[in-house]
Amino acid sequence: MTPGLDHFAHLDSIIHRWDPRWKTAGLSLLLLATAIERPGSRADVSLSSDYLPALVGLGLSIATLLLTRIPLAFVARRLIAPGVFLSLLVVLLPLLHPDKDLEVGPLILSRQGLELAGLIVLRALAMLILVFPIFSTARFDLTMKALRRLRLPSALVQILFFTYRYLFLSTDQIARLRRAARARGFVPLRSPRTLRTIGNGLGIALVTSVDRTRRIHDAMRCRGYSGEISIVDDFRTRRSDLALFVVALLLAGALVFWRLT
Amino acid sequence: MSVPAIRVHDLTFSYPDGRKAIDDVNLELAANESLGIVGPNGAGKTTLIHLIAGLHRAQSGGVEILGQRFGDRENTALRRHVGVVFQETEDQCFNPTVFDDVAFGPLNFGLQGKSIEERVADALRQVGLAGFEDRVPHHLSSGERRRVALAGVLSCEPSVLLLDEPTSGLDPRGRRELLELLGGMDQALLVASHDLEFVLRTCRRSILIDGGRVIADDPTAKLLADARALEQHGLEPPLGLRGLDREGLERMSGTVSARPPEEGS
Repeated sequence: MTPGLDHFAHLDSIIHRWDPRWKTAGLSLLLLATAIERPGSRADVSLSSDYLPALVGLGLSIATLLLTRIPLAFVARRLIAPGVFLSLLVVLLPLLHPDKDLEVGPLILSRQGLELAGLIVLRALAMLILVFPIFSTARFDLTMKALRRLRLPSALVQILFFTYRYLFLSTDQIARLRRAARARGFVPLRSPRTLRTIGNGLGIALVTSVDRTRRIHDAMRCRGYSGEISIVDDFRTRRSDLALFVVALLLAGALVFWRLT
Repeated sequence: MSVPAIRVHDLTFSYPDGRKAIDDVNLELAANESLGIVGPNGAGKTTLIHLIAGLHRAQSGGVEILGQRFGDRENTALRRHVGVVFQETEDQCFNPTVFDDVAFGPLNFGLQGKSIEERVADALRQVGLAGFEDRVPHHLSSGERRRVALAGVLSCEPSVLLLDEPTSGLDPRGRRELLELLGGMDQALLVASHDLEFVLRTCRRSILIDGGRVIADDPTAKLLADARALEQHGLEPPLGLRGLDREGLERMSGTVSARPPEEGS
């Protein structure tokens, strides 16, 4: 089974000790600051106003990640899928951008498209890396409680929570279906019924997940659920939580100021 | 005369595909009484439990819990009196920690702060899982998860307990521990199960249902002594009960129950 996003929530680091509410708020601000775009940067990518702040943003993300002491291999494995998507962007943007002014062998590329792709990759990496200090340094349920305390809409938090929770159970169920098919001689791709078998398996997984949803909802109703989940937590704000939040806020503010001026 | 814990009258229910699952069922259960529901697969046991818990709307007839009915709107005040332990406890324990799961009901019923912690601690102690607060329900064994499900229900302090196939997936030890646990409780208890010995030990009275209809409503020992009736309705006594006459079955009946014997049983 794939380890969950909060697999390393038990580690001890300054980020792990940070109160989940202040941590989520502070690092989310930093994440937003790395995403902010200078007006006009799409038409004219600048080294000093775009690339340098993006590099600093990426540096801050990496530094925060290193502080968490989460193994880098764990992070790298989870960056593979978005990495593939970003690679496509790097390949396609210089080819599809209208201003073609760069010859590389037989290819005529756009310098601006290439610069823009590089900038997008830097920013995306900075944001993706910051996801780990936010979501991997406390148990997922505590992060969800922190989000509720930060006044994120209850429905959204419930959707996030149940999606995460039951993603693993659904993955387990699909693995069981695969084992059952293999035990009866099914070899994917070699069998002429591959697509049909996979379709049937996914169909069963979908139908049983609908049944499961109904059963969970019934169980919730029986214990008084009527659309809102109340939570218990023992969050306590310490001076260090506030200090870290102020640092994150200042860094985020500086990044935004640099980009917009 | 005291208000019955559960009163089911002329209850009829069909699923949307037209299949009649419950057909004109009547029964009454006094506070502190225990009642077994036995019957073959598809007899309507689970549907009856769901109807009593107010999870389905009957086409005719009704269910009263402590003299009140589940109306058209979600009746949270009445729900706190009815505790349901479902067959699939994996779906019942949906919270990330045992503490959160056991606290779920009391929080919904408006309890706060210290009283939540006390309720959770009490319920976990009752089911023998003190110290399990931070454990993940999905990583527990079936027996432990069933106890968590029961603790989640007990923390709401219900007056009526509905158990659907409570021994499903339990090993002999888990089953024995559950028997002992139920023996110490004094709520009105409704047990729907295939496990006839379990029903015999927990309930002095049982109903046999088949095709959604109540076929018999008798002392459990009398019901299980009638091998022919059981066979007719797709049931057979477990090996441990074979060869026992009605007297022998009566000696076993309700042996783990803390509830006083009902009159006439």
